Amino acid sequence: MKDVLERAVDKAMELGAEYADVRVQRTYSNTIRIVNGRVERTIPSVELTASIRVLKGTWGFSSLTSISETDLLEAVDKTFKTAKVGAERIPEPVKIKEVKPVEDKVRLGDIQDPREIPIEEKMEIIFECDKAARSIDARIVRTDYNYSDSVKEKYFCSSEGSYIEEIIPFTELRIVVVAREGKVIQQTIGRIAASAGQELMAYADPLEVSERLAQDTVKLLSAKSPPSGRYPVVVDNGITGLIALSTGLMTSAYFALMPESELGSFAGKLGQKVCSEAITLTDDPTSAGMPVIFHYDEEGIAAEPVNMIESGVLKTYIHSRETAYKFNAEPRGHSRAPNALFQPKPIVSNAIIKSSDLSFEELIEDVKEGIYLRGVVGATIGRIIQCTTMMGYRIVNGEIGEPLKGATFIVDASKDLFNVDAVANDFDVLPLRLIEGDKFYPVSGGGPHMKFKELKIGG
Amino acid sequence: MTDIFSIANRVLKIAEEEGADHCEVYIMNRNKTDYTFEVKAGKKTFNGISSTIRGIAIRAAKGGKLGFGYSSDFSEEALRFTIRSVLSVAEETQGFEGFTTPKTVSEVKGTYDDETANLSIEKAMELIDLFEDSIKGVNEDILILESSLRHCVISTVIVNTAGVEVEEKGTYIGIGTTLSVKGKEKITYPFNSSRRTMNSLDLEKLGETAANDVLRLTEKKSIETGDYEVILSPKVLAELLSYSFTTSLCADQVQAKLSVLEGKVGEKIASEKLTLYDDGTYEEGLYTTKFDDEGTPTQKTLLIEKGVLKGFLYDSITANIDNVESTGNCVRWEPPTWDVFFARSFSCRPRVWMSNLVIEPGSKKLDELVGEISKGLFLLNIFSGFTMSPSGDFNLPVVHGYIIEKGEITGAIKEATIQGNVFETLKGINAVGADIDIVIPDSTSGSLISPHIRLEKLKVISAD
Amino acid sequence: MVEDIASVVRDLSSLYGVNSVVVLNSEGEKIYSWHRTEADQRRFQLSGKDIKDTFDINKEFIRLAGGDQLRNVILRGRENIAVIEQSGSVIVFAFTDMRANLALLLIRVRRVAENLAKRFGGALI
Repeated sequence: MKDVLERAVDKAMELGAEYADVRVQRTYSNTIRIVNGRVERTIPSVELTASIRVLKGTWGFSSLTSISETDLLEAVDKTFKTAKVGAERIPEPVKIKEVKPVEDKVRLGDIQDPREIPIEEKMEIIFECDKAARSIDARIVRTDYNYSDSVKEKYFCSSEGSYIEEIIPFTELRIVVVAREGKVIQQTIGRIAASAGQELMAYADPLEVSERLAQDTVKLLSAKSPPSGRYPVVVDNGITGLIALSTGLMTSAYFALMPESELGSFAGKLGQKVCSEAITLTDDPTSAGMPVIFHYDEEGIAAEPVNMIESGVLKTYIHSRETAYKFNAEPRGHSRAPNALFQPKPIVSNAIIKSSDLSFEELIEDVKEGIYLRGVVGATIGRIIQCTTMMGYRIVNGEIGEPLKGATFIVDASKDLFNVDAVANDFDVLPLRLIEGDKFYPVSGGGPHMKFKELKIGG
Repeated sequence: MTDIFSIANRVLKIAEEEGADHCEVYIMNRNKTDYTFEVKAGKKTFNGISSTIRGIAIRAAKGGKLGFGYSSDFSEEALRFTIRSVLSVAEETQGFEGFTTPKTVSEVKGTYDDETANLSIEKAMELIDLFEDSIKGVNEDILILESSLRHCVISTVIVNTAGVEVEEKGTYIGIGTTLSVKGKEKITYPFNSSRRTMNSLDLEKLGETAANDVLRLTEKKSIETGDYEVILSPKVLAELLSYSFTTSLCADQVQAKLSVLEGKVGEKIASEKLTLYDDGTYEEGLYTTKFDDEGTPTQKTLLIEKGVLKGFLYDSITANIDNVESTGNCVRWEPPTWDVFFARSFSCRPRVWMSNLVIEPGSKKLDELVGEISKGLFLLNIFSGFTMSPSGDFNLPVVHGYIIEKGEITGAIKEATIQGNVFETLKGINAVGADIDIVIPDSTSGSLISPHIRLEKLKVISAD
Repeated sequence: MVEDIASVVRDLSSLYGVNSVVVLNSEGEKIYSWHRTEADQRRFQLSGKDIKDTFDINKEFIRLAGGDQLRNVILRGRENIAVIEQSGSVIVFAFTDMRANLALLLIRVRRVAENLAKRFGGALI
């Protein structure tokens, strides 16, 4: 592999490029969907993706699904020419921040490689979970299990002499349970995901998760609907995670360079207060057990955790080499792409709001009349975060009260994030998929329970 | 292409070695180039991307059980791995009686052009200049925030053990822009158009249309909540029709008793002004192909005639269940796959879906449609309808639209949401325009070829 | 009855990587054991009491930690996994090498324990 990739970047440099890199990703994956105990589909696949990026005044980019030398070299020609012609038509050339070249090979850790597990075994696990969920109560009318696993083999080679290989596993199970009683329909969602192999399905105990989810769903059938209006609101770790993710995206220099875009509201805000002092926000692609893990980003830079927001103050954006040059900052390994077909850009991986030393009980003790929201069903994010939660509880005089059905709430990042009173000392993480047009990134958000002085619920 | 056929036949051979009774191979090659100029933080930037994506999809059956899988790695090892996996996941499939047998494929026109396929970067830059000049020619105050040109060649090959061996090549070209007006920078207007060949993309006219639209959109006015007589642009209609409505026309949904149109063939389900086809052979249509995604020839299928439901869309499997012929609507697409030209992909499992939905044009010019409204709205663009519930209920924000008073456009809608039910909406069509546009809806596969239409009334909620 | 137990245990013993399965009654008496090979049988030195004691110690351990009921004990060596699960009056022990699908192993141990308890609940004396 190394030789052919090196010949491709060498060719670009011979043509007169300032910089070139090649990325290759081979993904082995299996997806299984089981609905109401019946196999809805199982799709095995092998995806080979590759791309070439050439800098000559501006970027040229070509992607392909072949790694034959002829195809790669042909793509180099075309890419170089695209960059050269494009550069003549823009006022300012693109520059990238200098980095030191790296050579490294990151092997698959101590995991149970999903490629070595027969698909029948994976299906049996899901069938068992499905059966367990449906046997909880006759009012459960639908169960929907979406399982997928993948192993990505990634290769990166640059004209500066970097050559990196990395293997990354990912396993995910999403569970939807629907219960019905008369006209009342209740739906809940459970998610298990980590950068791990088949052993995740043991440690995360999907059987237990399924039974709990089914029990919750049935319980919620008789719960009251939440009130509408503005209330003190406490959100669980997953919802905090969603807010962390959305805020994290706004710390991408890519969006900060587009002030007019939906996620561009942190443009020009470096060093300023962008949210409550209770919030410290980190993006960490390296910590074990999290849904997204990589040692090197899509530009071959070693990934490290970055604190973007410290006590409410925007300290730094996350960068690609191009944005790092513009802001005179250091790229710290946060450039991502769904696979090698797409251009890298700085996107958060695991966006985490830091916990405090306050217990959950202390967090809610001064809430006279409020709402406690749990679980994310679905959300759209941007400057305005709109989220449907799975369930809720009343908080009355500092105590958790009666259960409520899920509520919809809206967080206007430019205002409501200043309304965060406090965060608790616990931690959990919510695996999510970020969908942007035809691209899809695995991401996660996490953090402690979090309290808003006031938030708009419903309506 | 011979190379591709030999790969396809190699796969059939491996499948046989692995014990498959039936096998079908679908190979797609997509060659796409996209040039975008974008103003970011006040500076013009360029992005040039090209991609060559090919992949192989395999359906194979053993002992009556059918499986599906795909690979974009064409190595012998990966192909064998895929076939083994496909056979290991094969399932009982009602209606599967073997793959499509060879038939004469349809003749289609205007779907391929060498010049469009081999467009050079220099020529592409000229076309962008031409487009930008025609925008600026309308008014110097117009700001071009983004302009892009993209073109694409897609070739497909289908080979199966029943003897089908077909291939086809198609081209696509599209232009896009985002406009604003000096002093009104908060208003941005995205505009796109795609066609099959360079000559059918009228850049000068498109530039003028986009420019005139944005100028008229700057006079934003609040409206009151209420029922309005409304003109829907083809784009708005595409967003309303391409999800719940199209789903309910698919035989698999009808057979699963999930379609609200089940058992309604012969009944009046829409205004008598509406005649609707699915036409995979439409000249220059974006989803026009000689054969569908399992090799059945495409055709023109009457779905609604003067408001009366005439039939449903079928692939070979659903056709076997109802003992009818396939309508050539086997489509390799699943949400959320989307593409600016052609959203089908080797990575999607085949299903029943639309190709080009065609609404038969009426006799009224757009001026007449507008002129006859005393108080109404003209919707240019709404949020994507893909979140619509299966019942067809929608609640979608208007992105851009005009206010009509006494037969004249007098301003643009500030902020509003339209509410209703697609199936009910179709009953309220009171006029169909004479013009035709080819548009593609967001987040789905298929195109709509339609004139502007007018609705007697539509509920519009003001956001002010 | 041994035949009947064997047919239930087959669900577990047929799993790739499983080397030994032992079924105990609530007194810790071995009422059934299975080993994949004779070598596995020779290497196996655990008594029913060893297995029951390990389970009971862990039951107490969980209780002292402030926890609730113990469902199973999972021991991971470098090369092997041991699982002990109780359901009603039945204790099932499985010993595997690392090739076994851990997720499926846990599911099948639980299923076998539950099925044995259901079918022979009162009779395993």
